[in-house]
Amino acid sequence: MIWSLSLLVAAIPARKELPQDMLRSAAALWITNILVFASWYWRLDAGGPRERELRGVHTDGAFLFPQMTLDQQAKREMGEDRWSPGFVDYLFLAFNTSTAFSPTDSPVLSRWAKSLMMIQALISFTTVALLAARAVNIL
Amino acid sequence: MKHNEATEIKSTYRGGCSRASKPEAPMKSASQQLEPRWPAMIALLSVGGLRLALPRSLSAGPSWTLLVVVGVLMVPIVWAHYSGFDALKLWVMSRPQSLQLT
Repeated sequence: MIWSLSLLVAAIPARKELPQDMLRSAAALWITNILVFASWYWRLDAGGPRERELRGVHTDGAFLFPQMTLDQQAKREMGEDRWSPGFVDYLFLAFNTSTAFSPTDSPVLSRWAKSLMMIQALISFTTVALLAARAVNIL
Repeated sequence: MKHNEATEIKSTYRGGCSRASKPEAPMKSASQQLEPRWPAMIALLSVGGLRLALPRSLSAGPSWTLLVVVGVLMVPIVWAHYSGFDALKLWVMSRPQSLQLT
């Protein structure tokens, strides 16, 4: 992904690629960025999916999901007293990071997660900003 | 949300990642919810598939390589998951696969 992104960045000023190819490539890399980082968050948070399953209740993690801040009574009423994040939760987190360039509903607590989110936001921003610059003929 | 309780919950966090506290005892109760793995598998295969959308000049090697590598690596991961070899899945297959995709 990073290799392809580097090639895309290099290709923009040189105008080697057709506009359609460039748009398609940027979209593919932007979606790839979301999926790859969602996979990283899913695999690393709280020791990975297996350890989260063994723990049963998710109270120790790198992200503060909204369900984790609810009191036990509210969780029980919602039927989520044994809530644990799944891949879709991390995908949503990664999607928000790529679109808003920041976490939205889930604050980041640990340093490794902050580092990964900075890298993800930077990749997304580079892709989107360069495409926009190319679209208005700055580059 | 009760503010005090949220603060209390926050204060128990130790940062997650692989260094998070180990579970004290595996819970094998019937109420234990197993997290489905198929969404992650679809996501990884999609990454391999998205590579096909890239023009040849923006990809190193044939565009189908990544899809094949992801598919091949997924076989032992699935086998390890259903056989209970979690250590193999985690250290030999899963993380190298994420690194390779990145």
